[in-house]
Amino acid sequence: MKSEKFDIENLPKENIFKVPENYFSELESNIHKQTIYKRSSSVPLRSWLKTKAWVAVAACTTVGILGYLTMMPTQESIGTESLSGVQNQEIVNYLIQENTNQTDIADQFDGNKSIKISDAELLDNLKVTDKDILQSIDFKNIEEEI
Amino acid sequence: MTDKQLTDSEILAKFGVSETRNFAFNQLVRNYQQKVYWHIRKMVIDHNDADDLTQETFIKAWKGLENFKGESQLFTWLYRIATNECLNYLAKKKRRFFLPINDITEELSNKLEDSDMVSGDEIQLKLQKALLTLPDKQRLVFNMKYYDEMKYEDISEITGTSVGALKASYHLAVKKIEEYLKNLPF
Repeated sequence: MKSEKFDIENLPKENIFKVPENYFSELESNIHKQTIYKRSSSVPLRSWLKTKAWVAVAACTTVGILGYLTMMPTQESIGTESLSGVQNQEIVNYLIQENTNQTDIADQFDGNKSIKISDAELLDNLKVTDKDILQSIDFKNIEEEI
Repeated sequence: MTDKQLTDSEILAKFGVSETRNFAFNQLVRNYQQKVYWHIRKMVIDHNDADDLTQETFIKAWKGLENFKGESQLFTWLYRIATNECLNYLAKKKRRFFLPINDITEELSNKLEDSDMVSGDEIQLKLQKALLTLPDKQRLVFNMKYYDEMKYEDISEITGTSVGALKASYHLAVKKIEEYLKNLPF
């Protein structure tokens, strides 16, 4: 009987679909990767620990910038005040060591009223001997001018 | 932890405690992944689509379980998520390709010919093809009643349709399928 043949309630209930081998164990692990693992690895970082680290970095950066802006030396601040604690002798020694022109040294002292130094001291500091002075004088021209 | 299968109420209780939350969700997946997968697979036919939708169902379950009030059973709640995923997927598929229903039926029917993913005797294959001629919601009701042997009350909880309407829908589906099969040459 055709009608009996197609009585679906009497048909065996078969699942005709197939899945790849080990599919369900892989499915379980795929679901976990997208739910539990993702959440458990991100939760501590998203919480106070991560915030605290960022706050510390931000605070250090702010202090650093403010400190630099406050303490940074300006052109005006470099002058007599900054050299006031330095002995004259130390300045002279430094200039000699740097092979600074002797005239420039003299000009420096002439132009700087805050530094008092006698000619004898200057000659002594410059280590110029009488012989050096005599050699550098053009006697012929001097006589003509006289 | 033992391998003993937890009941739904035990899963919910353990999910509520942060220390045992992951364990509880593992159990939930283990208990229901096959049922959910087969429920979806019978609707979308294609394995890869069913795989995606099953994962999506459990991701949504993970996000929503915290707010699950226990007003329905856990498995009907999961089936409801899976059902919505299926119906949305099929509706989107029809919209995306502007395909008439017959073309979708043909596309799914062709997937039934894939011997790598489908096996069974001729009558079972023809039954599946007959099912594809039903509207999606009617096919859904038929699958839950015929294959999963669920109670109408549970199907009602899942679909939000009254028990009376479900009985009528199932009866109509059976008639359509038998009529379809009667006209096929064997």
